[in-house]
Amino acid sequence: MKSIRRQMALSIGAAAAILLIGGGAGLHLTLSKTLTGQFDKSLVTKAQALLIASEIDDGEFEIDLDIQAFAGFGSSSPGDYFEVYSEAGRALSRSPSLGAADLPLPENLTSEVSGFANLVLPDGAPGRAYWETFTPSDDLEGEFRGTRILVASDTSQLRKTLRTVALVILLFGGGAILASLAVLYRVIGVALKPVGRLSADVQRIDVHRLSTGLVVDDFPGELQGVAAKLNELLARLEVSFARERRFTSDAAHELRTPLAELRAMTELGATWPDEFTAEHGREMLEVLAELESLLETLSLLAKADSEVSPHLEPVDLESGVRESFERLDADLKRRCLTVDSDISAGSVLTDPVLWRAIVANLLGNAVTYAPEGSILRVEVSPLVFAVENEAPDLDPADLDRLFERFWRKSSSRTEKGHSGLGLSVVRAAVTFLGGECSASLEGSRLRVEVRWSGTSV
Amino acid sequence: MRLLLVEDSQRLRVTLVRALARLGYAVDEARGGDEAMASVGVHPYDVIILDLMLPGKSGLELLETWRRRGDLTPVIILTALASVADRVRGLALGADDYLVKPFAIEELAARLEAVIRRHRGQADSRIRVADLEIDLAARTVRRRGTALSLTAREFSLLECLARHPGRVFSREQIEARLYGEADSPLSNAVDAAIYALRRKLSPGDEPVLIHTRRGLGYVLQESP
Repeated sequence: MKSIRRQMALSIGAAAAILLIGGGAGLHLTLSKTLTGQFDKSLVTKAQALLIASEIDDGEFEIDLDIQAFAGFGSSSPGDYFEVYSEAGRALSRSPSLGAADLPLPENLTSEVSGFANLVLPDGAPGRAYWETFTPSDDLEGEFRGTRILVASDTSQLRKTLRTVALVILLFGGGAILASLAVLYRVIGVALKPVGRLSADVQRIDVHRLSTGLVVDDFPGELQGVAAKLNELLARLEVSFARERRFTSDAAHELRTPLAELRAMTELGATWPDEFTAEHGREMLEVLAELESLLETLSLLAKADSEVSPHLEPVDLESGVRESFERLDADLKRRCLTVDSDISAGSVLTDPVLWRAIVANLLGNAVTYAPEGSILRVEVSPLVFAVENEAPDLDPADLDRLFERFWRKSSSRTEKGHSGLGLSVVRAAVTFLGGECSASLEGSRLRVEVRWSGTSV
Repeated sequence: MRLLLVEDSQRLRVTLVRALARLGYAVDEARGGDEAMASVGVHPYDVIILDLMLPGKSGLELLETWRRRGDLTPVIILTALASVADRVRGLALGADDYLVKPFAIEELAARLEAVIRRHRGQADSRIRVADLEIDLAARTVRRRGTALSLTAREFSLLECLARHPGRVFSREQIEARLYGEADSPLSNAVDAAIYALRRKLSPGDEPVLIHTRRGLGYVLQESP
């Protein structure tokens, strides 16, 4: 499994190692250049000193022996050498330290006036040389024009120093990389602790008590947003689970009574066939019809409870309401109800199935519960759909419970076909479509009102 | 065996009354809490079958009232409320059993029997009087090992007498236990039923077990 801690420690460690190695190499290079520069400078100084001490005596090129010794080229100082060559390459003078040997000539000696070169000294040690082409000051005839002086010194000590420096840089750098890795690992571990806690807390969340959530203030600023969002999602999940549980239990409860009726009727007929009459058959069909309509209502509720987007299309206001009234016509006549309607022309952008359910339920409720011979009032516009009817049995305390699922003023089921789901279907559908519904009581007159947030077309 | 069925769904109530009547119970029906209160005040019932969601007083309120008054008539709750909390509340208030809708009539009958037996402190569903054996659960009767065929009402009559062998039951007591409010028995219905039952219990030359106590009523016992 990938670990953020290990990955961060390794990548930061690698970056630090590259920096340290680069820095070490740079330091070594600079040091090497400086020391070599100083070395070269001393070679030039020595060459200058020898040139000052050179003279032409009786047509012979000479360098004062005292100056030679002073400049460090005596026989007692091995490691420092010089040799003077004529333009033709004949050795004119050489340091006592060379004995009878010659200094090897660098390849570019003839092409340049002066320069530096690395070479192998006669004793086999590594060395560095400086040469300069000159004409001695007292060479009046120009006999010694093009004379070259070559000064060389042993670089073993310089090389050793640079090697030691490289070793120190290497050891220090390596140690620093290892130490920084260990420190990094610890520091990252401390810094990542809240992430580990967040992970542990999330794993501890109880599926059955999602609302417990996380304590946001316990986390550092960077993680508080994550924790807060998680809490919000968990709360929404909990609400949706609770709604689903309530829906299932309500639905099961509501299906029990018609199922019990159907089962008892069937059992009676099956056990005592002489008890089974055509009337029983009709009653059983009635129960089945009620079950079917209950299922339809429940699937409407399930649709409104789901969180997918509604399917919107323009619905004509007037024809929708008229259609519902036509279906209720028989009940209206039987109960001698009068309808006073105020329906404005136009259409509304809505989900046609849910819209029909809202209209049918509100009108159906009014027609069922209004006292015989009373007047219903219906007001329909693209923004408001309201139904008013007399409701002498209701009191203001009932208004809050009016939209609850399965709530009936009386808990009996004597009203056939009314499950107590009608207004809860209305509310669920209206909320789903982004509207609001409310109920108010003026005297004994109930007004149920649905408001849309301006989706008219 | 006289029952009171309190149920507001008309279809379920009518169906259950018919089925229970076919099983030999005398059943009175009540549509709501108020009717149930009125009936309980008038008649003694062996068991009350009680729905919980009722118009007027709820089933639980009724049960609470009866128990507070000291009425210990066994109650079987019949309801669509299926949660554990609902069952516990019903049983805690003094219900003897709890049946969730939908249910089988057969199961309701078995529970009725069990509740009655428990109420009377009987562990066994069989009653023996001399060589007569009555199985209340299976609703069968045997005399000297031979099965006898009784109608539902004859069985109820026998059951009523057999539950208390040796005790004299008046004609009125028997009538109250045998017939529901909906029945209108003739004045000699009990005598006729006793006569028919006595004959069926002694198909051969077996000694008579149901004896008449003139002016008092009838008794089931071995000796005259």
